Amino acid sequence: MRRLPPLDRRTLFYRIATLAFAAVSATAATVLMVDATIQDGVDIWDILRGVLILITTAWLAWGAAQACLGLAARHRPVPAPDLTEPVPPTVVLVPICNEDPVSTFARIAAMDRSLEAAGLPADIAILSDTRDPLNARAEEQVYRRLIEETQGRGRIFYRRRTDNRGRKAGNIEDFIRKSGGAYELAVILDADSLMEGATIRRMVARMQADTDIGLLQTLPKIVNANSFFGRAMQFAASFHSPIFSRGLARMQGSTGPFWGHNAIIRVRAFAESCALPELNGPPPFGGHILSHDYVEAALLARNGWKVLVDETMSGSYEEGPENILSYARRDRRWCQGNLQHTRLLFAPGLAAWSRFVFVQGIFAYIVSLIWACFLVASVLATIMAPLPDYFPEPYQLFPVFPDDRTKEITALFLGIVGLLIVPKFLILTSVAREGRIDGFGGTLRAALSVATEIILSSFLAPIMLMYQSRAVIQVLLGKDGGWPSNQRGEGKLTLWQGIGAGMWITGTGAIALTVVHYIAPDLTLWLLPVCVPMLLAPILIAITSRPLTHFLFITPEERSVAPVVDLYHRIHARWQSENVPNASASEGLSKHVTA
Amino acid sequence: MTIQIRTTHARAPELEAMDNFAAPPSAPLDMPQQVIERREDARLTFSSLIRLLVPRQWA
Repeated sequence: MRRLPPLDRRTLFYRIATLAFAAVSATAATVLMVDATIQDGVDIWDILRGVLILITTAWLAWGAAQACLGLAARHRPVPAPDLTEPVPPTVVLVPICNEDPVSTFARIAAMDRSLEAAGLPADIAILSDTRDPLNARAEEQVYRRLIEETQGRGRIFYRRRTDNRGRKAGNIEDFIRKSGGAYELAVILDADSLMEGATIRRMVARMQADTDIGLLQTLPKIVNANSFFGRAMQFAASFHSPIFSRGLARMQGSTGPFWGHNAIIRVRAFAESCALPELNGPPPFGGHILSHDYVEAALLARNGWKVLVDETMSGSYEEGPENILSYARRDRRWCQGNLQHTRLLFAPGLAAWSRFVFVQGIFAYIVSLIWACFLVASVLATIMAPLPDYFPEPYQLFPVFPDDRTKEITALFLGIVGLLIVPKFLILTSVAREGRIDGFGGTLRAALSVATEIILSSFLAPIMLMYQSRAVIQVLLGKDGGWPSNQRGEGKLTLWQGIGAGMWITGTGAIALTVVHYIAPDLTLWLLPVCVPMLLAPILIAITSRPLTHFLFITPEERSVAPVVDLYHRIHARWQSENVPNASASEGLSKHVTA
Repeated sequence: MTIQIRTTHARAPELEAMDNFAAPPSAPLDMPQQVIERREDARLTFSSLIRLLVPRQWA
């Protein structure tokens, strides 16, 4: 039986240091909170607020520590071995489900050419789970165009499942069961993924050199964003994520993450470890495993295969949501998937760190609800607080005023804001030190972008909190969100669409502010940073979906477009001008396929 | 995104069946189903947690 290499001291130190930082920060916040709130006696609300602030601060500090851990450059360079003969048989898997076939297949054409340029022989298999017959027809037509474009007969395959069991994980499993014996390695992509052939070649070489690696994950950069929201995410992914990922890689050691795409797997390892059963009971907690990638990473590690992330590997791209609504829709699915992992926390044989990663994923969502509970508890505590007793002793001549605890509360507030903001500015200095700042438009423009991203995320945080809290409550109430198909590329939202999607948030904010203003006016000012964005939710949803400025949020990938991205754009434009798909079909009709 | 599919009878060429060239190679590989949930874990659902937390007489 395979076993993971023993945990090295450095990884253990990083884990302990990060956990200790989170614990100390959370304790400090709780002490400040308790100190400020118990002066009128201890009641249930004080205890509740103490517990809630402990959890939320621990979570924030954990994220901040992860960023700080990634600030230092790697001591040892990531291994970059050369590919040697014989090249392991490799396939690139592109699972799709009701996607726009022209965009998806144009990406595949670009990657095929890039693979050829990199001198890496690899097959490509398009694994369709598309159910809509019109879209399936369109896929077949564009596939024919793809074969014609790439001369890919016998090298680029397409198959469509009629039984969509297991969705994406089941789709890949089905391929491995039927065709996995033909390949040693498989690159798993999403429909919107793009990877340079040279990058895939480096991944193959790394897998070839270290046969204990079961999965190697790259850090995909977001490209092709156009809206204010999309570009802010694109900037954050390019600017902050490599540092966060370096911290993550340091902490996770050989039990790293799998994010479901832009990764390479050893087919044999995957086959022997990752056939996922359905969980007992109905969704959302039962049924097939929604967030399968985390589970697959845990199962590979359980079987002794190394799961690594390499944030230094460039040439790995994906597209991101262009507006808050598509982000929230995706988040709803991820929320359900992560909460479902509560069922797997005690799965037999998992590495302790894999269980911890599940807990982390669960917390990523329930922490929003915990913040919401903290706000409600703070309001209720103020309402329920006894009136100050200025003359606690009989026959007292002078009144005793309660201690002013504004300083403690302000310190707590600044501490929490610091945990959110300071790592981002530390990353700014780190990027400048590493000489990467020019790619982000120079120091001034990068600093402005960081500041704008912080302001934007501060405005969007209460809206996200509401969407995430709603998602968590829905899942806990047993409501299955299903697996809605991705709606990629959708852009601008009108104000009416913003009102339709965000009015419930505005209403909640208005009610909360009114109630607080009348019942506990002292708290009004403290709640404004939360309630004002909630009141403006429809406007924010609509405005951020528009392309406001391209002066900010410059990324290196935008300044110097990667060859594979450029190639994709050219092929896509050409196919569109050719009106692909235009192959014949049996009916003489014009149809519209909405992807 | 909207894709328009225009089709005409007049220009319809004879299309080769997709199965002739699209199907991936047949090379079966065994994938044993993994055990990730013990019988007792299966009972640890949200409702069972609620039952643990809420006194029986309240339920």
